Amino acid sequence: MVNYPIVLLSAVIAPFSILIVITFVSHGALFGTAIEGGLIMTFFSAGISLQSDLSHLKNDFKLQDMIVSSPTSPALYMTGMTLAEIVYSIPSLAILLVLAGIYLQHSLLQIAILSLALLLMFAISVALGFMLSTFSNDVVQSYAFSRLLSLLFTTVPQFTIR
Amino acid sequence: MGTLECHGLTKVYEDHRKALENVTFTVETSGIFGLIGRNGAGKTTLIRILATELQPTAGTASINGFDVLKQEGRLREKIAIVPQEARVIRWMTAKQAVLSYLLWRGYSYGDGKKLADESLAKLGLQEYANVLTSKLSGGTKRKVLIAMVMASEAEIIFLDEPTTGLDPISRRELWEILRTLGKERFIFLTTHYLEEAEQLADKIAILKDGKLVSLGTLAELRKTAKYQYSIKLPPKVQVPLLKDAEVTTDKTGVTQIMTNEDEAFRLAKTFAEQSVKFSITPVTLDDIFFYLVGQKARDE
Repeated sequence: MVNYPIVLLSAVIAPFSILIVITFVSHGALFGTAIEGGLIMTFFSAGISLQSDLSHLKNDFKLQDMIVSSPTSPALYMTGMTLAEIVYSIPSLAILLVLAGIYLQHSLLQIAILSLALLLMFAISVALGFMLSTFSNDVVQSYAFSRLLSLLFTTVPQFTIR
Repeated sequence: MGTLECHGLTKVYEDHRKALENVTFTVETSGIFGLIGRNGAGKTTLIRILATELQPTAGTASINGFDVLKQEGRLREKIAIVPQEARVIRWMTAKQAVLSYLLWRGYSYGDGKKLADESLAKLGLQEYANVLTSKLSGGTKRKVLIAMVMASEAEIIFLDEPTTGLDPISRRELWEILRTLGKERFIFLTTHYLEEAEQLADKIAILKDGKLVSLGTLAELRKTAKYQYSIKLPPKVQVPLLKDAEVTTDKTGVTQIMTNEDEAFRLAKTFAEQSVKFSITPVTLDDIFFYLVGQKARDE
């Protein structure tokens, strides 16, 4: 992110594009839903990106082989890679959470349910990412597949909510 | 100083391809150990088993008393590997690449930074420390990979074909680094450059079709080889009848006679008397390798 700031812009642009489209199409009526959708998209995309990133690091850089032959435990490797993915999403999460705080008038229970749903979504996407990366041996295929999954799990449901 | 021991290591892949067959040997874990063999001979399979990445179908192995299969956790604290075709992550600078590897290995940020600087300096890479690795030459990228493992505490370093694809100058620069590294740690090196093994390795093992066909110092390999001397003759020279020798002629017409010491000096005397131009040398690792691995390799 420090070396290529464009990555930051790319991570931020997807959830905000969906937020803007839904807001405009609904004439502002679904702004709250769009914020929630943006949060879901950010969490899910972060997790599912693991699939392509891990596959890239494993197949093209052989990083996984280097890590296996080191004191790094599998749990530490998985945690580290997961946190690395979420770091890229911090800017968009921060903006979305601020918007949610201002425009979503939820009760504490609703906030807790939403937070739990987002965390579960993230956990599922991370699990999917790790599992699918073990089957992938080509980064081109990986990136295409992760975009497809991201679309299926985050964009399509938002247009079927109401 | 300990030992690396392999007993009956066998690996059969799921597609029934036998990559290793009953490989048994013991070497001291000091200096540089070179494993040579043709493509598909089983070098990478062996190195991956020893580096705890792959489980053998049968057999056992241990390094400095740690069982590769049963004590892999303890062993991993002492080993590091640069796999074949490994590449340094191109969106990182050289220093970031070394530091991130150290962080993975459990070093603190402060210690990692210090060790990364020291390792890059040791390899003469200070000027590239803050340069993106995507902008470095192939040889320098390979040096950064070596700097990564060198910065760690690993006592045993596996390098799978570390100089493949490098130009001759970069290769020699890397040899110098490996020679220095081999004085401090044990390097297990695979290569298909015979000159590399000859130049670097204290002990050399030859794998053929998954089987260990020879192991020893270059001098020991020479002694155990059927022939100890090589005589080369220019094209169109009549080769006399020989009792115990291997005669081959390459595409340029140069004839090579590999034979034992007595026969070699008898021939040399004959050629000298006939004023025939010739060269006589002790067999090289190339000669031993080609003899052991087969004529087919030479033709290819």
